[in-house]
Amino acid sequence: MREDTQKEDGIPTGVLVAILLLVFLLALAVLLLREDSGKAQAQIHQSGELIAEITFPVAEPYSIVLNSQGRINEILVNAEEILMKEANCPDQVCVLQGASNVSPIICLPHQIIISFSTENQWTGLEGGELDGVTG
Amino acid sequence: MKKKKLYTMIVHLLLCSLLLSSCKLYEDEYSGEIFAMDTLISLTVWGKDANQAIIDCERYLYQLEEQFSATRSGSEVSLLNEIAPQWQRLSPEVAEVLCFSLKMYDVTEGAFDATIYPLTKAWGFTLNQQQVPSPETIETILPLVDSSVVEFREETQEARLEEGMELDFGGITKGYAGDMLAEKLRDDGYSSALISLGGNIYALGKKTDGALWNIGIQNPYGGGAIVSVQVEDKAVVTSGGYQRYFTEGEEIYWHILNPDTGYPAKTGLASVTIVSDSAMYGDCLSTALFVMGLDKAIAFWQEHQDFEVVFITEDYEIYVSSGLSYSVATGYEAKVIAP
Repeated sequence: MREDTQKEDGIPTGVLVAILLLVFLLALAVLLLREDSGKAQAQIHQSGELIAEITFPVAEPYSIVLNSQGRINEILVNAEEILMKEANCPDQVCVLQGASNVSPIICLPHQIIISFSTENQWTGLEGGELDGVTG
Repeated sequence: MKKKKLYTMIVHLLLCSLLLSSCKLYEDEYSGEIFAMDTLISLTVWGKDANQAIIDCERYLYQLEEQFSATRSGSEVSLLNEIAPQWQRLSPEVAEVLCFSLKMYDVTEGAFDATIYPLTKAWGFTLNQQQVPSPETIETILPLVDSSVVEFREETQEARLEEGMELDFGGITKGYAGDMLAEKLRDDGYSSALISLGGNIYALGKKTDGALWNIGIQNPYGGGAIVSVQVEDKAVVTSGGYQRYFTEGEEIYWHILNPDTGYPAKTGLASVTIVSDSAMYGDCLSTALFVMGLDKAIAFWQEHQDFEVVFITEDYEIYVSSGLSYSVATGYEAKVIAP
């Protein structure tokens, strides 16, 4: 009985509380890091393969040219949005779509998807975060 | 006693830590994206083994594509088009969609017409070779656009088109697929999923936290969502001229054609969004109401009221049916349509 008490008294209470608080804070940090950090991101995939990942805002606008067996797309990355500047696809739907930072930009003939990880965020209007966008 | 309290606190802290760090893991969220039906299809399903459910859904979508594609040689629909005016036996899926499309032709008084395919081809929208057909070409084709002469024998599940007529279920198949996938997932015990077929959304059940789905409606002039609606177990389907169009000179020509005139439906509407129990119904109606124009479409809603609707006009005016007035959000002024 005396031995048990000795063991309990072995670690000072303050240290024990500090360690446990640390564990608690670490768990909280893990959770928060798993959540969206709030920075908008874009992913460019072609035929299922991740080509580029962009974190907004970008300091200087730049272009990404994809050339897959003659299927050419020029993607312009602006400060907080992306647009398909040029493409030699037959329908030009991706080019006509214009700039976006919400809805995905899709070039179906060239199997390119530019998706936005903050697609579900909707700032400036009421109604909170979006789960999807139709249209 | 003091020690006991301390240990109780420690145990609580540890439990909280464990719960906090693991709660996301137990949501079991799985997503998949595929190109099918000439569009991008995204599926997100919450629940146990949802990854397998997504794979099953993808397989099913490819099967539907095989049956319904009007452009794919050998598909059931292209065969039906090719062998006209002979009879063809249909699979239960194609028969169901054909019957529904014929019903919608009647209900919308021809504003939705699945026999529009010869016109769509003349405008080059099917093969992405857009062009303005001559008035003579349109005049020649218009008599072929008429669902009222499509014949269907229910007892033998056979259908027949008149010679030269062609069906295109492009304006209905994505809706049908949305309904079928939702039913499949529901039967498999999933109560939370988001199915997006080229922007046509089916929101199954509620979110895992019990909240309603918040679905945005794309601003037809770009820049993200302009309106949002909160829904549960509903399809949210939009048709808009901006989705596919081409310009020639100063003129814009879009893919939603008026079956009566043969020309793009320009009625002052920029988009029509239908919120309904069935995605197939929503798919047909979004096209039909776009073709009707605002006044006729409002009268249609007032007469039927088995769906809700959001209109966005070319003048940037937003109209919402009264059933949505409590679940819609927008930074713009929205006019509520009274029943």
